[in-house]
Amino acid sequence: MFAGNTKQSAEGQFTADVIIRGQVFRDNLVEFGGRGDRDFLFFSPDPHLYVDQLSLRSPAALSELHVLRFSEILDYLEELGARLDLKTNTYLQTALQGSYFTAPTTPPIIEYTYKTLHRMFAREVVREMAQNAVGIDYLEGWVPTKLSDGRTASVRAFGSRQLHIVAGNAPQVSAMTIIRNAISRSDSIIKTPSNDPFTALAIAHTMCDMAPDHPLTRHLSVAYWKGGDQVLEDRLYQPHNVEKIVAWGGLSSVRHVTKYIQPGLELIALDPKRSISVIGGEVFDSEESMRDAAQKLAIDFGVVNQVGCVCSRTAFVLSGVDDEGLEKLKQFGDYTYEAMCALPKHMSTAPRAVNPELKANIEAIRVQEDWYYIVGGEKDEGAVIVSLVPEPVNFFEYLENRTLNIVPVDDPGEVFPYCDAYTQTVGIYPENLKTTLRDRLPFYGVQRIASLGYATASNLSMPQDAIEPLRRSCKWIVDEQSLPEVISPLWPDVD
Amino acid sequence: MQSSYDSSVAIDLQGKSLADDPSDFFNYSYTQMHSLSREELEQLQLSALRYRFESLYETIPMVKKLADKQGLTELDTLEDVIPLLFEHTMYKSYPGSLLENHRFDQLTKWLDKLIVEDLSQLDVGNCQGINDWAELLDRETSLNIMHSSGTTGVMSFLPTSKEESRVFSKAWPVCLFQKFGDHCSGMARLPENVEVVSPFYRYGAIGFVRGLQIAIDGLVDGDNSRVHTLYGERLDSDVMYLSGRIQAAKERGNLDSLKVNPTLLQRHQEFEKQQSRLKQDTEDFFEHIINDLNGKRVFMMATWNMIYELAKSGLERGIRNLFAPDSVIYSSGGAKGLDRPENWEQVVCQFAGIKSLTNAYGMTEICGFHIMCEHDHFHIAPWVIPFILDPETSKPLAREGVVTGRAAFYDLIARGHWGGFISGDEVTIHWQGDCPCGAASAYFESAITRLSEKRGGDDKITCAATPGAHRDAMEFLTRVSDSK
Repeated sequence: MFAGNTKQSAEGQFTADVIIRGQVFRDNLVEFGGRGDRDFLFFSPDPHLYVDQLSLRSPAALSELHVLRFSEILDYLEELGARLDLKTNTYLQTALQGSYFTAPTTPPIIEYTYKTLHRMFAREVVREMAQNAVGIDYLEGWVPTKLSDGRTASVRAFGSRQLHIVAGNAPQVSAMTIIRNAISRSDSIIKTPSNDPFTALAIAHTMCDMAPDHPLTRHLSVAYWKGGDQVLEDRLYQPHNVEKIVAWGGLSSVRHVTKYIQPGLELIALDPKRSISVIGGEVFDSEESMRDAAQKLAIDFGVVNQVGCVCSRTAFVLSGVDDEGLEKLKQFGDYTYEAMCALPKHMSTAPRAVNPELKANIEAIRVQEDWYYIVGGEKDEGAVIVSLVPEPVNFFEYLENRTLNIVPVDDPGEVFPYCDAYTQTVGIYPENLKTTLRDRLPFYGVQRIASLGYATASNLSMPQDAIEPLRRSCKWIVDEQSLPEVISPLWPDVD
Repeated sequence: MQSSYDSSVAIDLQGKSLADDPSDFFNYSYTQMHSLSREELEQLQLSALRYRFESLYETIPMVKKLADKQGLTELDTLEDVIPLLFEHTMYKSYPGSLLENHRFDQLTKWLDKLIVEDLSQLDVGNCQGINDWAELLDRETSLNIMHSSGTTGVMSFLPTSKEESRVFSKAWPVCLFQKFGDHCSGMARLPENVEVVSPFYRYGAIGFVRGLQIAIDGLVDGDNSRVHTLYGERLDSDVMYLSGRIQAAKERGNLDSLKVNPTLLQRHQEFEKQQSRLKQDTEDFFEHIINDLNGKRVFMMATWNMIYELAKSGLERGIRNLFAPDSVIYSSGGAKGLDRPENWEQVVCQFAGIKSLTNAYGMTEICGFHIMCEHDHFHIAPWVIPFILDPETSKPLAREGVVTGRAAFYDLIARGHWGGFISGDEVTIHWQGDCPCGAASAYFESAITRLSEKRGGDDKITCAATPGAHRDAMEFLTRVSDSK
């Protein structure tokens, strides 16, 4: 029985359709292996048969997007949000079933994400994103500025033809890509990843049902092909088809893309990242403050089972390394572990799969009691590793599955050697510790500073990874009005 | 069926002799090593395992600690030992700064928990680096520690003892110079007129070089005049470690925070100079082999790409059948990221003048190799007890039929350190020992993969970073710029 964009076949397998600018294709199916469960397979139309349709033949077709009023875009997204109700939307329901197999998180977490996906489409959220990330006036029309030399320059942000290689560890990435495409009035092709082939498709399907002829529907395509499919990518990744490629996930996606980058085809790379926390000595002021910080820290590393780049992996605590400091630190480790275990299921659960290498590393240091104090981990539920020496564990870059390393330091400056271009968010407690750190952390590569407890709750209207992907996905066009009576002309005066 | 070893006392005695000296136990016969029925072998292995556990439980602090935690006082079955197997990560479970800051007092304490010998009186006050420490341990203790390459910035230390190496070395002529079906037995015998060739360093504490020393002891009784290495000196362990740290710091982009003492830095620069001469030195070494070992019986131990390069350049010069036909070329592992050409073994055989190469599955942590037969099966050495674990739960999988899972071992030769070890490899085992080669032993299929490589796929996109991805990125970028 067909039940949406992804259908479960008799063998219990799923089909991911191809959607090209409002048209749905579900024929010429071929088999692809998903991720997550070893044997999970899904079917999708042979992408080679659709590659020529995927590219937008005429760039002038973008003009239909540019006659829309911004309020119409808000109307569209608001209605789309209303239709992305998991209780009634069969596309989402089926995509959710498929995601249980492909996603790196567990069913309660994926379900909650799907339930709340519609919030991203709320009018005020979208308006704020457009305003902060680009500027609504620039999206709506020409914004004139009088320049010092007398000319009037008008600037407008135009849409572009884009290809998105999206990350699959969080369904929000697919939703955000669709929203960004609408805001920037662009034509986007989303190449779905094998760890989330379904979310973008479910949203696109909903758009097709809702407004099949709307320009916003007719400028979104979603397809799956195996990243690196050279025949397909050679054809598609050309400046006459695509102007910008937005690639999440660093090398695993960029590897296939870099060879196509040339004048006329720009790469916007959203590299993989990790995050840390820094906690001041004030945490030990009272039982309440310890519990409070432990709760916040547990959220920062435990939410979505630590699969996100925003999730903390190492927490540096200004406890000092004397016996007294370490005893307090152990207690803080206990509290943090308790807080992690108490996180509600829709936010965090025992991890989906064990990472044997990480487990081996934890078990090997568990018996090194002079140097490490480990809370939990024996039931593969996640663990808090308290270092009793002022350095992270040797495998700190491999922490996942709700595994946090708490590291004692004397001085906040000891954090810098562990910050680099891959450090996205630093969650800090208490607030006043930020004032000294925020002017220095960026030099070491840090891109976002957050209040402890809010690392995973980022606002989508803000810059991302120290760049502005939405602004960059627009084409910034200038119309200069230079009148000879105001600016002396370049040609000789005939008088 | 009534076993031929019907008294339990006799079995215990035999188990003890199997563990103490497997080559001797099997009369120095490879055929005998692989002829016992599974039932007979496992009975012997169980008594040998109990013998090891009884003595090592009291003498290795870490074993006692793990066993006490599990409430384990005796082993009723082979699988009872599984909770006591050390993860491969145990040998690098010290804080990295101890090695960076040359805290050999603390490192010695750490090592002390993993071995029988008491190192508490050892004075490491004069150790200025890893070389000094390894040499001190070589000189004043029963140990011959082996370290890993340290390419990730972390170095593992395996506390192998001299006695273990000595016993293991006796198995080399048996396992590498005999085939299943050969009738050799009776006494320990060195293969005649063998020249040992290895295109690497002669001395050092890195696993590969320690392995070479074991080969030299086992095959030419330590006779240096019959050893041919690319470099006659010691591979500098401190420089290796520094190279790994530099690499890791480069990847993190914080090279400036690396503190290195000037003497070591100079040694590192000399090492890099030597590396830049590597191509010429290798050519000279090949020249020496081609000229001086023509017609000789050799034992060559190297990575596949090294052997292949030698053979290819030799064939290009028209050299064929260089060595005596009873030579042994033993390839162990290979350079990462290079694909083996399909015909590489033929190229080598043609050049060397031998029928086939010798392949084995082994690892530094185990005094044993599982030699590949002509049907591409790695036959498991009888003194190594294999376990196949579920990669996720580490619970043992069935000991029957054909099973795929994570390989773990108990090495019965180990006596100064603990022989239980969980690898990071995924293997497929055939328990029933039905190989057409005739050997009765259980075997692994030839395809062995690293579990860490299996995780994730080539099309899974995530925004969360791991250093592996960064390393790949660096390699990729270097390759791209090289090709321009």
